[in-house]
Parts: sequence; structure tokens; C-alpha cells
Amino acid sequence: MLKSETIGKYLMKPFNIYLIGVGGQGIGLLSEILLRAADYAGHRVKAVDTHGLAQRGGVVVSHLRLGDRVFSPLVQGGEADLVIALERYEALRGLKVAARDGGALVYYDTVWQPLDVRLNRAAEIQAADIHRVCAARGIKDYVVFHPALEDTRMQNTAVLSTIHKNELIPEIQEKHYKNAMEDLLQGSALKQNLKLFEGNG
Amino acid sequence: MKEDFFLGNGAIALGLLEAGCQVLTSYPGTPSSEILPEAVRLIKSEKLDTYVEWSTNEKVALDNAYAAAITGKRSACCMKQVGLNVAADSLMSAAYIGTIGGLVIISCDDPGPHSSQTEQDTRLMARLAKVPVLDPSNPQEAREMVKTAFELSEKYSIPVILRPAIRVCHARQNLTWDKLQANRNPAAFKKDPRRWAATPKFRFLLHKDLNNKLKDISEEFNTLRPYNTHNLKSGMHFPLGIIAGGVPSSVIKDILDDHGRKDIPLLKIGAPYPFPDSLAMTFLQACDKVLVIEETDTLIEYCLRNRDNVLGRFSGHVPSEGELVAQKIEGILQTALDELALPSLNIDSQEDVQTLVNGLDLPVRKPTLCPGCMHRSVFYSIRKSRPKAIFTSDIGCYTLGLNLGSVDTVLDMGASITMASGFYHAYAQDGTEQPIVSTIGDSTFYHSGPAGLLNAVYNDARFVLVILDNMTTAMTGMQPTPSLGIRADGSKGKQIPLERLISGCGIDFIEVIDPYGMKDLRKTIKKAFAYVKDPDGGIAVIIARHPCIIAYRDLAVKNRKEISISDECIACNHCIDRFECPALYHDGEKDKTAINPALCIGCAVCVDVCPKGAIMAE
Repeated sequence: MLKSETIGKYLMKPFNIYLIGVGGQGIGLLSEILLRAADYAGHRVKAVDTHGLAQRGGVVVSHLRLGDRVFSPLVQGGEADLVIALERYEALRGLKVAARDGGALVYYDTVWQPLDVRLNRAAEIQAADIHRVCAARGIKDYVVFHPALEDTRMQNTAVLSTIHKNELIPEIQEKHYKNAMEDLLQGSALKQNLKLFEGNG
Repeated sequence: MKEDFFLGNGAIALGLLEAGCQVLTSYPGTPSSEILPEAVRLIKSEKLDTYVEWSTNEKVALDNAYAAAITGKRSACCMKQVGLNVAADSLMSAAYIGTIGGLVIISCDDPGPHSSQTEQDTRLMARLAKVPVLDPSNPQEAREMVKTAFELSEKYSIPVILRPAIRVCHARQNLTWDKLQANRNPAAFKKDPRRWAATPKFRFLLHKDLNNKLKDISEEFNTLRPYNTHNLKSGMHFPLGIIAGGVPSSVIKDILDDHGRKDIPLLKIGAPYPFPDSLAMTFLQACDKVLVIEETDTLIEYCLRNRDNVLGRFSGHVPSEGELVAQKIEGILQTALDELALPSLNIDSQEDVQTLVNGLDLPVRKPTLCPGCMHRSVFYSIRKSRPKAIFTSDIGCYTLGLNLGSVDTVLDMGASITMASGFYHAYAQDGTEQPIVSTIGDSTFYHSGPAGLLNAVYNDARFVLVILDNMTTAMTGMQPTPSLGIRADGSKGKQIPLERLISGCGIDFIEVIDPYGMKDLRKTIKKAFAYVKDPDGGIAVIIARHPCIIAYRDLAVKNRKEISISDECIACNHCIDRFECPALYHDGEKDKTAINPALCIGCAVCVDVCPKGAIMAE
């Protein structure tokens, strides 16, 4: 099913991806699509996810590391080449804990306010704040937002589409992403997600 | 040859079935919960007849697996590290008596902790029980170690523990595998009461046998490659060496590799107990100083006979709590190198730019109950009914009732009930009438509720017990409970209704209610307290029953309502603060509360919460 015979494409340095979002946003599925797409592209890849209590509305993180000589799936702080966030506050958290200067950030610009913000005890963060941090650190930021997207569970696919259109992960091509989606989704969910993946950039 | 991605827990399941495990038992708990379901998936696809069960608790799981093992079958049981506490009584004794067929106990650790009450180190439990323990560093190694564990178990007639940490359990890796075949050891229990029912006199002899086994296994561990291995070059001496086990050994390999540090040798100890003493001594002698990096406590460091030149937790070089994440390990190594005046790691400092991010206020995001969760309605109603009560609670999603101010204590599985009776007697002794409301989930109640409830009834404690019955084991990933009558493989089991069980514990007040109706729930709580106070009354049990919003999405909210906020809203934040539904937020522009339509599930329970009646449902 998977093409291990093509494994061995050499990355000079490991490529580190850090995914972050709120429990319930579909970080797990996005992480597994990337994992499989990387495998189809011939990368050696390791990943690790969050399970358990944190999944209930807390911060959910997934690490992916591509490369021939990778022993641990954990991305070291400040070493992520690509930070993928499904929410604005978590985009900032990802920048803070994981992003490498000169790397890239792609995030879906929706807001799940943390309790202190909902209670008006903490200030709101704006997309401009995130852009300012990125600019100062030489991080290219990609903001994803589809006002017409009805099913919020598909925001992760919109982000995936942007990752692909901008070639943010080395060597992974359209067919690899699609193969991965076909492995993990079926029926109308697959159809709708593929349509969104192809349509937006 | 097949190939697929496996979760670490899936890799362990694969290892179990490759080793011919015939009986597999478990109680779910993060990070161990996926081992049994992954085994079920493989058992079905490979048409094996392996027996699997969700046991009612970890002690039950171990006893069942143990019995199968002494009939000669290969058996295993899986649990989280605190589950091993529940099974400790069985474990200690099983170590003495030993086994016939291989018995592997998989106890998953949670350094951090991410989803546990403690950061306890299962390796120390192995040492306490005097059984061997293997500590995998990645999913593939965990899979291999399962087989080694069965072989060791049978060779030395001893239970063996596998201790994968959370970063092994929840890592994903591509694995290849061949057809799986069931092991065909028939059940053949040979009676030998002097062993299987050993009296203290024979326990002494068994203890002696056990100690002799450990000596032999320790010898074997000295050369157990590739789990216990070093990269010293013969005749060479090093100013600094590192000893590491489990997950941190992978991290250390990455760090040494990234920085090209061939001058620092590594002794990896993946089989740390019984301790490979002579292997460690060889390594100590070849290095001036040795840095020990292990999770979560001090087993390797403790077992080193000479710690004069050891940097670790005892010397204060390694933090004694929290996960040893990569940047922490890099920092520890850097400090050691600096102290020894050795070449440093050249870590780029990004501190200047970090201050820019730190300048922005980034609020913490606490885990919270889902929109539409039945627990929210229960906790809101309890606090509203009896704000001055002591709220004892338990382990599950509903621990998050903390956010609603209706959880005062969380100790361990079942302690909501035992602590409620404890509080009652402590206050009753002073003649004080202290209201107490205890909350426990359905699965937790089956796990450890009845023993405490029997005790409380027998000793005439008085409190209100609310059983939060969401018809699943939600937090660990929706495993079935005995009330559903569905077994681990999806087959039909015998249903054990909560009502019957509670009644059997001697409870005469049992009310079943849907907590979405909060007004009725408050009335029931009032009635329950009247019963508790009545000299002829007793403990009152309310079963709050409503399907989990994740497990039964459509069943939980049959008629979704459109929720809106009227102009009556004065932004008092009562709903956000007390009801704490994630779909309620503060709209800064309008300075009013608003509904996030992406999060709102339309359950309309919040309508009852607003003091101004500003929350509307259509």
C-alpha cells in the first residue's frame, strides 16, 4: 500500500513540522495525512500526537520529522521549519515554542478564545500581531481563511491546500497528498475534502 | 509482507500477536488505551482467536491474564502507570509465584504529566516487585521488546514488565509485517498448591528463587544487545559519557548527531532492571564523568554502584519532575559540558526575537468540557443547588468540573465516594452538618466505586452521590462500559445496569434523571438532600444519564436549536464564568456575550443559565 521502496530520498537536514490547534479541530487527521503524504513522497518520517485529557478543548500538538537520520519524533523548541496552526492564538503559541527563525507559518485564521479572553480578562490577539512577530523573525506567514466554508471540520484541509500550493514541505507533490487523503477519508467526506484541496490556494 | 503506519500502541499490539499472545486484558487509560483496540483490529483482519477483554479494573485485568499464563498460555495485560498501582497487589505476589506461559505486563508511563495524576516511574514498580522491565525508545523497539519479554518470562518463569512512555505509545511509524499466527498452547493447569497457593513458609523459598532469577537475568542484561549497548572504543578514555534509556536515548542520539559529537560515548540501557551492573561499570571506568538521562525517576542512577563521577538527578543536573523534552536535554548537556570545560554545543540563541513574542500576552488554554457535554449541566446544577457543599470528584472528563467550581478533590479512581464518607465522618464527629456531593463517572464507578460505596453504606455515611452516566468511557477514547453489554471486540456481553449494582450496594434512594433538564435536576438534588438528612435516610444516589456528545453526536442533541443573545445581555459574564461553555464568548466590539456558531451544538441548556433571560433558543 505504501511505497517504502522509494524511501531513502536524502534530506541534508531533518525537516521539522510542528502542528498545533485546539482539541476537536482535527489536528490528528491533518497530522496523519501529512505523515502518509511524506511517506508517499519517499521520506522517512516519524510523528507523535497528543491524546487524553488535553483533547477536551485544550491545546493539541503533533510533531512530524522528515529525514533519514531521525531517532526521536519530537521537534525541539525553536527548530520547526514549518509551524501549522488551526487557530490564531495557537499560531502565536506555535511561533513562541517551536518556530525556527527564517522558517514558515501557515495558519487558519479562526479564533477559539481562551477562557480569560472570553471573560474579557486578557487582550485579544489580532492577525497583525502575528504578522509583526513573523516579520521580525524572518518567518514567512501564510494566512488561510475561507468565509464560505460551511463545515468547520474542513478547515484543516484548507490549510493543507495552502501548504501544497506554496510547496511548503520538500518533495511532497499533489498526488502524494491526494493518496494520503484517499487512505484516510471515504465517500462524500473524501469528495468534499478533495474539492477543497484542489480549489484553493 | 504488509506495510502500514502504526501508532506506538499499535506496534505493541502487533508485537503481542506476533509473539502468539493468546489472552489480552486491559483497562483503558492514557497513554495505554489504544493497545487493546489495535490488537482487536489485527485479530479481526488476520482472523485470529486471541481472547481480549476490557476488564473492569487493572487488578482484575492482571489476575485474569495471570490465570491464563499459569495454564501455559502466553498472556498480557495493558494499563497506564497509575493503573499498575491498582494491580500492585497481584503483581507483587505473581513475581514470587512466577508463571508457566509468558506473562507480559504493559504499563505506560506519562512523564509531563500530560494526562495523569502522577509522573510515577513504572521501572521503580518493577524494582519493588522484583520483576524485569524493558524500556523501549521507539515503536519498532517496543514491538521487538514484547517478544523478548515473552521469552524472558518463559525462560525464567517470571512476569516481565514493558514500560513504554507516552512518546512511544503515541508516536507513529511505518512498519512492515508478515502474516500473524495464533500460538496454540493448550490450557493445562497443573495443580501444585505449594506453589499456586503458597503459605508464608513457602513464600520465603519463592523469594529466594526470585532473587536467584534476578541475578541470572542481570547477567543476561549485561549483553542484551541492541537494548543494552554502548559505543565505547576499546582502549580509549573519554572525559564525558552519557547513560540514557527509553525515549531520552533517542533524543540524545539526535542531539549528538546534530552537533557531530563523536567525542561523547553513549550507553543505552533499554533493559534497566535487574540492573546490568558489569556493563555499567565498564562504561563508568572508561569515562571521567557520566551524565545519566532517564525518564521519569532514578532507576539507572540509583543502581549505579559508584556515583562519585555521576551527573544526574542526585547531583542536581537533571530536573526531577516534568518530561525531558529535547531542549531540556540539550540544556542539561550544555551545562555539563560547560562545567567540565569541554567544547560547547553551539546552540543558536533566539532570545532577542523571543522577547517580541513574550511581549504579547498569550493566555493559557485550559482543557474544558465540550459544548453540549452533560457533565456541564450536572456541575452547574450542583453548585447552584448547594454552593457550600464539599465536592468530591474522580478521574475522567468530569474532572474538568473544576472549571465550574464543583470539584474540590480528585485523588484516585473511586475516591469521590471513599473521600465523601471520610469527610462525612470527620464533620459528624464534631456535630457539624456538612453537605457533601460526590461525582463519579459510569466507567470509574464500575472500576472502583462499589467497594467504597459498600463501606459508606455499612458505616452510615451521609452524602449525595451523582453518577455521571454518559454511556461510555469518554476520556480514554470511548471504550464500552459494563452497562452497555458490548465487549472489547464488539460482541455482545451481559449488561449490568448501574441501578441494579447500586441497589445491591444497599442504596435505597436511586433517581435516574436527564441532566439537560437542569430545573428537574435541581429538584432531585433537593429531594436527595432531604433523604440524606432524614434520620431514617441514608446515602442518596442520582444517576444523571445523557449520551456523550462525542460518542453519540446525533443522539445527544436530537433537536438542535438556534441560540442567540438578546439585547437584555449586560455582559455580566455569569454564563461564561459559571457555565463555561466554549461556544459563549465576549464580543469586544458590542461589549456583549455572543455565541460562536462554529462551536455551538444547539443543546439550548444555557438558556436556563442567564439571570437576565437574554439567551434565546429557536
